[in-house]
Amino acid sequence: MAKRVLVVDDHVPTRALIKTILEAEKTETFEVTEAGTGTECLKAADKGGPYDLILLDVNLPDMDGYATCRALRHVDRKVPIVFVTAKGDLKDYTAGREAGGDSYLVKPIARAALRSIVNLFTSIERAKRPDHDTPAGA
Amino acid sequence: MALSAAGTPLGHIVLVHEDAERAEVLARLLRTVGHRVTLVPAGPGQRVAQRVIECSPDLLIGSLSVADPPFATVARSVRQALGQDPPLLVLFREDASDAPVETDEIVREPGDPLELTVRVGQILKHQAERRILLRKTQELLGLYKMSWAFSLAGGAAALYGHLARQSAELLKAERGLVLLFEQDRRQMVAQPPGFGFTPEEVARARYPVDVEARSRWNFRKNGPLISNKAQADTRLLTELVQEAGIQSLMVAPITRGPRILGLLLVADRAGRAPFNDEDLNLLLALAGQATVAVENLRLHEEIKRANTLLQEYDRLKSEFVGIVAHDFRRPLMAIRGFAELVLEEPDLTVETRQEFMRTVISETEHLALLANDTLLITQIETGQFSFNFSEVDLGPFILDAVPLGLSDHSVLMDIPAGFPRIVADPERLRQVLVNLVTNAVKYSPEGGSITVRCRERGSQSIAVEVTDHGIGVPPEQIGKLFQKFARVRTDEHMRISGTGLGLYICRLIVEGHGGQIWVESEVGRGSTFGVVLPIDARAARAAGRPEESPAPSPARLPSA
Repeated sequence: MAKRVLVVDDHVPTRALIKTILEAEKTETFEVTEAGTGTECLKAADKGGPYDLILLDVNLPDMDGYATCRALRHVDRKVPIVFVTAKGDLKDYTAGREAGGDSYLVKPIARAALRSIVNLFTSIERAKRPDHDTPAGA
Repeated sequence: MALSAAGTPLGHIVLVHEDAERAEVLARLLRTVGHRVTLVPAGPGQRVAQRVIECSPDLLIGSLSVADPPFATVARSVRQALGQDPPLLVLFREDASDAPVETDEIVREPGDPLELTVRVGQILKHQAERRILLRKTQELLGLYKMSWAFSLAGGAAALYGHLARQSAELLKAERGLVLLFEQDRRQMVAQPPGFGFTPEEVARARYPVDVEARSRWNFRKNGPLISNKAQADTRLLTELVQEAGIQSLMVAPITRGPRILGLLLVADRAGRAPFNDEDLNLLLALAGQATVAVENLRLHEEIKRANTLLQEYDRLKSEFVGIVAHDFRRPLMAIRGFAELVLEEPDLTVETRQEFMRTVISETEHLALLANDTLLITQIETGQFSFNFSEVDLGPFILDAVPLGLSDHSVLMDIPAGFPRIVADPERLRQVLVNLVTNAVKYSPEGGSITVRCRERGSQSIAVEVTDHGIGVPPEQIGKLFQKFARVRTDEHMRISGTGLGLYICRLIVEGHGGQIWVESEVGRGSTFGVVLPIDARAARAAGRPEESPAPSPARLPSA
């Protein structure tokens, strides 16, 4: 069965790239949904879920990725959320963890790194994944 | 000290003598000259030193023959109590026991009565001079203390309070006040807290300058002012004088070169004594000190302001570097990713490969644009950029610069015939125009119309306005438009690419020409971006001030 991945980024070429990389995988089939804003992301998670993985940018036009992540956790406490962002400070990383993210990747990411992370998180069955807490302030 | 008929000073003399009869003779002699003489009998149990000290005389005359206690002991106690005052004159007989005494004068007894009066006169004259010297020293010490305290003063209120109080105290006055000239209001304004005035009196104290008023005092023409009948005097600060019930006052200007920075005022001598010219001289000296202090404070605050600005600039710089680094990573991600795909996937079709490489190229172009913009901003901001001014014929120039045929937008040119040539940097001006028109195209629907209108503004400047009928800018975002990385963030705007630096660069270029950039916008109705440029940017820049223009602020909200 295809793994469902939600890619959230306001930069169109980045979304296209991630989609292309995932769809080029030979051993696994990925079904990629795109979102350009935090609002679009939440709508997709609410109406089109559940997803097997959400790749989330931080610098979104309407709300930042951390706030989006906190809101996502109210909808789905199991889905792995991986930040994919150009913000590479330790404080950004910490903010990502505190918002309920599972991992944090800093752009520009090598294709190999993206593939291994995606395969790692989508290989665990949903039922076996731990529940995330619902973070405050969402 | 009073003066005798001969012009020598007269004083209060205390005479200590073991021989009461001889003492009377000497006292009578000195009294005929005009001195006041007090006789203190010597002898055991008389508390001689104590009585001399109580008299606080101008001169102490004692006989060396006084014993029990010996005169030397008396003299020492007196000097211990009164400092170097008073001088001593010792009378001695040859048969007297030779008790050593530190003395100013020695007169043989019994000697020529005339010699004694002459000696006494000399001592008192010397004493009077010494006292003047002492007072001058104390004044100087006061001035020194004051200047020293100024340099340590913390802030304006502490300084002006100190200045007012010290001036009043040095001049034995009950009140003191500093007024400073305020350029924009053309008046002297009292600086709180003052000394001996209520806060309300200080807050109301004003002295208009340049006002047509015959009765007012012109410090430039007339110098400092002294008035010992202040209530009847209408020359200066009459409101304050009336309100505070001031009886006497002196005011000296605080000057730097030909400029009058402010006024230093002291009022109401303790014990209602009048102020005299000597006091006025001291006040002038104090005003000189005040100049240094006021200037120091001004410089100090200027430095503080500059420092804050510098820190803010430094913070913005770091923030800028942070944002730039962030904005560079985004295209890099796409470039790297698509290049890797092309390299690693041998089975891609030619079309897919080309599509990937086109993305790589367009992202590279974006990166190059970002690098250029960043560099240009840094150069202009740090003053390393020099504009190449030359004459520009605006009509053909705009037609040439505006990118026509890029989209199906219609661009309407509105340039009156005979529009003047201006002096500007053509390359940078082209950048501004391209930016504004490109923005107008980007933010308005397909097929929309855009107007570029050129107008003269007075004889010294021109205006170029670019109007679209696009999505507009929300009022709360207008203020941010001309800042660095100020992308308008609404759902509609975010689809549109850009570095977020374009309008900021436009602003830097226009301001570099001595002009101004502004915007009027309404959501859903469209925007007008306007540029006001001096006809001769080179001359305007040389004059060092931006061209006066009817568009005062860089960002205006749409009028209701």
